Amino acid sequence: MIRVHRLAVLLALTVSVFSGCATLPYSAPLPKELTIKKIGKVDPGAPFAVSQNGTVATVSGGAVQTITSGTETPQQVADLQATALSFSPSGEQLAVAGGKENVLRIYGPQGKLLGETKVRGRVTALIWRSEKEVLAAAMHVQRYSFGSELVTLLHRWNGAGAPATATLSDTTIKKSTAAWPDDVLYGTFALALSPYGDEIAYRFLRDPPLFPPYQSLVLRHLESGQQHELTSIPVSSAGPFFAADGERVVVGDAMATHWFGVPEGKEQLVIPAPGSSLSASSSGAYLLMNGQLYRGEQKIASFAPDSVGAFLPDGTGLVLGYHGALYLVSGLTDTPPPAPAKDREKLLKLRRLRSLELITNEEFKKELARVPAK
Amino acid sequence: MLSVLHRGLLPLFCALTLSAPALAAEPCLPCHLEKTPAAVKRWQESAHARAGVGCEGCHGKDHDKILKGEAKVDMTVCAPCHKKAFQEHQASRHGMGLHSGWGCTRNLPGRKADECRFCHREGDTAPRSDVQCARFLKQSSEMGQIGCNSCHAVENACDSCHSSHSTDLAIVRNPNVCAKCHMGPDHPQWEMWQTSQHGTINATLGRNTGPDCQTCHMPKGTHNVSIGITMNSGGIPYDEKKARPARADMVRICSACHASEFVRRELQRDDAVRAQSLKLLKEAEQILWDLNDHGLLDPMPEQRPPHPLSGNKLVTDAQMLYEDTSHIERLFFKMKKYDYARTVKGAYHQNPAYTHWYGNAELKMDLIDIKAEASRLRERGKKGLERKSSIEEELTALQKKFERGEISDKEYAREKEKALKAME
Repeated sequence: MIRVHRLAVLLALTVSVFSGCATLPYSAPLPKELTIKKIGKVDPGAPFAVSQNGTVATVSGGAVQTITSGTETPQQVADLQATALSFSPSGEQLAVAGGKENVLRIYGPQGKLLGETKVRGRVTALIWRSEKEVLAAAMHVQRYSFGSELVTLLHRWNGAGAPATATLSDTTIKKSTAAWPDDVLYGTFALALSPYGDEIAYRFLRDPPLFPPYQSLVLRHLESGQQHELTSIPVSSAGPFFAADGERVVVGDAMATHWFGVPEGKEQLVIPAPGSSLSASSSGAYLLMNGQLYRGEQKIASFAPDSVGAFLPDGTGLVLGYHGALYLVSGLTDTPPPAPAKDREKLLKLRRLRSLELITNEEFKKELARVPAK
Repeated sequence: MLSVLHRGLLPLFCALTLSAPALAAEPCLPCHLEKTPAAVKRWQESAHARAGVGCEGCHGKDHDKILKGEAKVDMTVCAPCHKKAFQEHQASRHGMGLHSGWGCTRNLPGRKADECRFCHREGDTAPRSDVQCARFLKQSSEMGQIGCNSCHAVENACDSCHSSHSTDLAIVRNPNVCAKCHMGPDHPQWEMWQTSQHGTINATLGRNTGPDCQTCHMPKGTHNVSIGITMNSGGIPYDEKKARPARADMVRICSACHASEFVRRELQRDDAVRAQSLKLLKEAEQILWDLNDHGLLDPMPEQRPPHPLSGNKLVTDAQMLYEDTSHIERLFFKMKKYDYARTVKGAYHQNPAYTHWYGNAELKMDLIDIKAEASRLRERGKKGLERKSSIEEELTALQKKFERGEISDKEYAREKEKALKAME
């Protein structure tokens, strides 16, 4: 009887605690090794990014600001409705894209503007290839009476002058598809950079006249421009992200999350958890899929399904955006990246030869085995 | 009595024989007897005149068109009356104009408007031939007309062989009628025949003993001149399925004079000469492609006027050019179009000198020249670039070789492995 009473009290306490915490991004106790704290605000649906040193860039009240750990007041960086944000590998530079005129800017420490350019299309993703080059994925939609032309572009910018632009796809979409909400339509173009900085994986919308729309997942070598489709994926897909060795890519959809091997595009692993909102840690060991935090194939925590995340580059934490607030989840231990090849130049050369289809994947692997690790 | 009869019947005979043509050509004769007397005379002597086929029967009634040269009598005019000959012609290599000598010149600079009639009938946008020939497209209007279409018009014009107004079969039974096109450096079949044993016997004892072009290539008067031929016009052998019945036809034709077994042996020997010569040709062709793969042609295709059909690409097939190419390609053109053709056709026409000295010996010397030129280009390439070709260039060249079928998949894998091992 006492036992039942205790249980009822515990239940009542739990209910009162969690009902009072309706704005928290989790609905079940977190594992003891994880801690969570609120660190700032983010406009609903706006992007945010985390730097190597833990600084978070966010959009709040229509302006870009940074939140540095240990500092209570966010620092205003730009009065711009950003569509994409990204810190450089060192965390010293912040790339910001957005505004009605599709501007792309680079800010230095203390929010100093280092460069600005205009780009064609709305930027949907930003990734730094090195401290000297940022990649911007942009989509341009031209609407006509019969449908729309959808162009996906890759801008490569060194912070000065005009960016170098390559058209990745140029396709006609049906009128009904063009009428999708902006966040859905522009959300169909995203890219990831391989850990070696030589290849990108990107997905873009295809909308054939007599078939339902879908997306293509494509692997492209940045320097040679050689590319091929890895696989086709549903329109609800999210990602892609590379694994630490650059030999696998993960994408999620409304039904499950899939790892595909490159360059063949063969499915290697399916995690039976929806991943239409997906983020991955640097190594790919942690995945946040529709609020479910997995390490490998093991679920370790559940957050609200509509929370979105960005992992800290060092793999120690995760920043979650949920209902206008940002939370830092600490206590993650990401898998260390594989030892870099001693002869990086040779490795990159072999990867290039494989992307050009001058050697097969088997020949690549055979040759790679001869390249000693550091 | 005889003279009375003669005097009485002659007008009747004349009325019967001359009234039909006179009536058929009545409106034209008064002027054309004066303006084109030779044409009228040839026609008056022709079977057409005797059959009552007059000027308008072939040329139509629109005199303005005739004056503008737009009422040329092509094969569609003759076909309704000469169905069998037309069908046989259509089935032959003549009927497809040898798939060359044509192409739309509309977008080329400096063209003459009236040259459209090379290929199009008045008011018809569809060309008479859908064939495009790169060498034709490089020519001026004048050169295209005399140098290409005078021969390749055989596709659509009976008068290519028969002449315009005479129907005398003596013209088309004379090998000279073939010589207009089948002579010269690229395919001197007429000379080969003339100086062969067949030609000599023909010249001395007549065509009943010594065969001529028509005896073997137009047996029983057929207009299908391709009977019995086992290769395409570029000398590339047909596959077995197509070659076997053709060979049987030729054995049958030759067996009219020779023992079948002898014929088979002779033709098998000639097949062997063809195969050996083709091997030399392929060896040379591979050298060209290898140089192209390594960017060593001088000039490279992208550095010269584009090929009319393929753009800035190396072309070594039937559409290859003899102008606006590199020197080594010009050597290969001679090797393929002249010397290979002379070797092979010389053998099948039983001409030892053409097979050997004008053909095979030249072919082999061409290969020496091509190899020497290739060495020079490679040497120059080394000096100019002062570097080893990159692994990427090396693998690209290997891939192209593999795709052209020059190396097997095993060789390809082995060569790739070797190149990768050597990679620094």
